[in-house]
Amino acid sequence: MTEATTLTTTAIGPSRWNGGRSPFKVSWGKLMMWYFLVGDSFSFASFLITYGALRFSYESWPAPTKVFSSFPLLEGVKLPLMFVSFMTFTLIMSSVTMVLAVHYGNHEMNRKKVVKWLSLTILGGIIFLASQAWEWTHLIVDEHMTLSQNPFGAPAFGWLFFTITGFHGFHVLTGVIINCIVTTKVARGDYDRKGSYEMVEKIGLYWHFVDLVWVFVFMAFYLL
Amino acid sequence: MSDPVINPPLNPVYTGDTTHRQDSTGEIHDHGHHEHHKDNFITKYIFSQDHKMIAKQFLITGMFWALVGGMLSVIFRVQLGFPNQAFPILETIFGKWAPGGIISPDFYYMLITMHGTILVFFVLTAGLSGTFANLLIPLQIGARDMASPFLNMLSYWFFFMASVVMLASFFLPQGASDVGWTAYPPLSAVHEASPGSGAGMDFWLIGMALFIFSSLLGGLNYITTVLNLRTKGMSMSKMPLTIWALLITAVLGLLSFPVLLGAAILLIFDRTIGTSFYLDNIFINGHALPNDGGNAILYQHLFWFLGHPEVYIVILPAFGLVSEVLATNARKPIFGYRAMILSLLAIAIIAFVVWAHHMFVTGLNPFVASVFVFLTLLVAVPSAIKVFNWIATVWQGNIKFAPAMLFAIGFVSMFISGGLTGIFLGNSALDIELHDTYFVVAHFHIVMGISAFFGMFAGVYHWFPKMYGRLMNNTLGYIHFWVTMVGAYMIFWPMHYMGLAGVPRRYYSFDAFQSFNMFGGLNEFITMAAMLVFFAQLLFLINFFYSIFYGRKLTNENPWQSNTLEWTTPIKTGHGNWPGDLPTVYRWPYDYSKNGDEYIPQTTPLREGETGGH
Amino acid sequence: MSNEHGESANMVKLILKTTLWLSIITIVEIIAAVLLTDLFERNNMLIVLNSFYIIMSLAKAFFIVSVFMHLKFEVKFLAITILIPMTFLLFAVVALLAEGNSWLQMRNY
Ligand code: HEM
Ligand SMILES: [Cu+2]
Repeated sequence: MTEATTLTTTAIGPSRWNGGRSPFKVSWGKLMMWYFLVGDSFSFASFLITYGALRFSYESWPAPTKVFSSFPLLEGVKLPLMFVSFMTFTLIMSSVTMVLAVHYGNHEMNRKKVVKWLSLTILGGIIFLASQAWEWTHLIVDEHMTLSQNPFGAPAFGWLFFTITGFHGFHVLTGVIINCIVTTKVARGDYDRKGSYEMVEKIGLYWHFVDLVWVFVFMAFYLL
Repeated sequence: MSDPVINPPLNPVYTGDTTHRQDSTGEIHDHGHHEHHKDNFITKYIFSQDHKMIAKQFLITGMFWALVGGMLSVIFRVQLGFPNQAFPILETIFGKWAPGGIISPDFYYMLITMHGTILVFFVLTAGLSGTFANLLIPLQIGARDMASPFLNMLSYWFFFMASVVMLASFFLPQGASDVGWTAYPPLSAVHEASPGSGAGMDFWLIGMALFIFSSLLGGLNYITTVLNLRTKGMSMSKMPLTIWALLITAVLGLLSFPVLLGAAILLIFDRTIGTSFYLDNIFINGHALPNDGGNAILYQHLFWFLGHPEVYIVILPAFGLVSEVLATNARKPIFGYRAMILSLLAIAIIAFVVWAHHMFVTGLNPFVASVFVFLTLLVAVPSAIKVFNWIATVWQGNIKFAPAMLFAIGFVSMFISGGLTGIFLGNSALDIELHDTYFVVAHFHIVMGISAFFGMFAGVYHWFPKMYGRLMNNTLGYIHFWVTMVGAYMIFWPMHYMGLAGVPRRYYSFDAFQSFNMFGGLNEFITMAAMLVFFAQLLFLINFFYSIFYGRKLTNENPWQSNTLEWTTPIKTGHGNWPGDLPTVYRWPYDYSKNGDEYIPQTTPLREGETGGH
Repeated sequence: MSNEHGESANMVKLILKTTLWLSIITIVEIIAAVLLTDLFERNNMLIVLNSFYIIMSLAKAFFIVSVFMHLKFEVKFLAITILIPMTFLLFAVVALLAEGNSWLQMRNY
């Protein structure tokens, strides 16, 4: 197959850059997803840069281990950063299940396995969103950290936290919705008929990107 | 179902699929299979997925906005040229906005804000790169259509929705946004700060958000199309400079518009849910706002991180169009093809690291400022390379003075004049004196406003035959050019002197300043010139719409004897562009006056012993 | 086609190995944050700890992009076109941190 195509294009020149095909050996759809993510990383970056600039303009900043030290159902116990660790692991695991779904789609076109791993990914996404909902509720209701006040110190911490984790959560939510749609399509056999599971790969890229962003959000709010 | 066509199809009209032509390894499968589907009025003219129709939609919407935006400037120029003079007709038209026939200050600020927003974003971004990226990318790289015709259609309709929202904001009881096209907080963040800071600003933000989606959808499509869908033989170094320019424009947009979106989202949060990203220590009507702890300068950084690339998003397509028009009409190869590409890339890269030159007087840390001065002045190098290459291209050429060519030459003149003043402004020491004066207004109107318009006019006159199969009227074109060229200099040249004397921009009236009285006559002159230029543009509109229906019919598919691929398509180009197979490319697009041939299209194979291109 | 299965198994192994690394890094980061912050703060060495977090986060990002997003296995130039724009962000981060710091200085005047 590849031999045949190289033969027809040698008349023009062997380089993949000479037209008639993708220089990157990828379809336009996947390329578009990649460049969309590059663009989206700039919107996240604008928020994180805002965070950096404002933080540097403050004398002091709340200590993450003090702000994030509660765990659901364990009232009164101080468990610094434990709940967010759980959230982070959920997200990493959902990335792993996603990459397995992509793998079994591309390599084996195995509909059953793809549906299984995609469903687990969706589950991970939902657990993450639920955890975030709990964390927000706890911070607002119990700790009284809101958009305008912050008992832990710099008020900017509050609105930066809610805005940025909110924007990330919004991405997770869209990811979950898209994953649900694609899982249905996989289960219906749409991609078997089409002969390509590339759509799973494309939404996989998006999902990993959401995980990637979390790495930096996590660093900014929970570690630094 | 789609077996390869070995014999040429009986029906010469391409009726294949224009969407799915690439498998997951990026090989193009282009088979003209026969599957007749009839276009009805709606799918052909309204929700069209044909890139050529979408280009026309962008162009005509852009023209509408140019008319509106230009009209706004004529109205506020009346106030500047004839302050406190009553023109009862203004009250008849605008009612409470012009009591007694004198434009009110609030109305004045609304006018300049919307003028800037409309012209920078809706005309010179969507109208310019939306039109020509759509028209030229598939045609000049040899593709059936954009990578995703559907997203391309969405891109236009997002622009359309943005237009509706912006237009609607004029009719709000408190009027449209009046905080300047840059929408700096706190004016833009606090509802009560000015009449337009309320609902007008909300509409502005929604309109801009829709606009950003539109340009992202468009840009993603342009980038992937250029990279993935070039026809056989169309290597990157055989692409016309138009395509290079449009590709880099799209990259600039992809990387900078998300930042504006971020800035706008934070602004919306400050306005609605009580965050304080941009707000600190604000007193309004005698009471303090609860918002505290943010920084208004932060917005300026985010805005200009987009804003500076944005000015190059406006001018790069014009660079590309002008390069193409100059080479074709001088009947000479473009001078320094590779240098042209490298300088485009250099300009694009530098564009991301100079934004703070708009902020020298914000109390920017002087060390940071000096870094930005250095980086800003660097941009003069690639800009100068381009200018010299354009001049060398037409030097001793066999020049055909078509209207497109005149506008291209005028572009070079304007770009030089405006670029030079940029170098003044790029020095922070000078900018402290010149910032927010009419010197800046002169700078950016010449280098961006007029230049980009000239690039656009060159493009429209040159590719009109491709769009409509007819020619525009030359005489009207010449009048249009000369009036605009001379008129534009009459408007903006004097502004340099006013700026050097310290006349500030964005002032409703200078009554309170004795020292600026001397410019009363000059202001009157500028206003008259502005009206003259505005009416010359009506000439263009008449020419354009008249020629669509009654222009001289094209008899030859290549009226300018040009080398690029779009002129190898039939005069009435169908969806899919080439009736048979896609063309194959053998040479660069600038083989003019070579070995005794006046022009050699890109589809002509290299001759015995001939080396390709440059 | 016979090595298709072996390749597939290898890939799964690589995925699991990457998962392990991501987990280890995260655990180490959290342990450091919980146990070491006070110590470093007292000795005015927080910058060391913070640099550690940044480097570790970049390492995690590298794993996610190269293995999970498969970029390691794509044509190299694709990776280059994606990474070049990120240098602009680096510049912006440095410039705005400097700005934030200078806002603080000005407020303290
Ligand atoms: C030699 C190259 C250039 C240099 C060194 C330069 C420098 C500058 C500087 C320093 C300013 C800020 C002036 C101030 O507000 O005090 C400025 C404003 C501006 N420039 Fe340029 N410029 C150059 C070319 C261009 C080009 C090619 C464009 C557009 C196509 C452009 C568009 C603008 C715009 C729109 C503004 C004003 C925005 C506003 O404040 O409303 N400039 N330029
Ligand atoms: Cu600039």
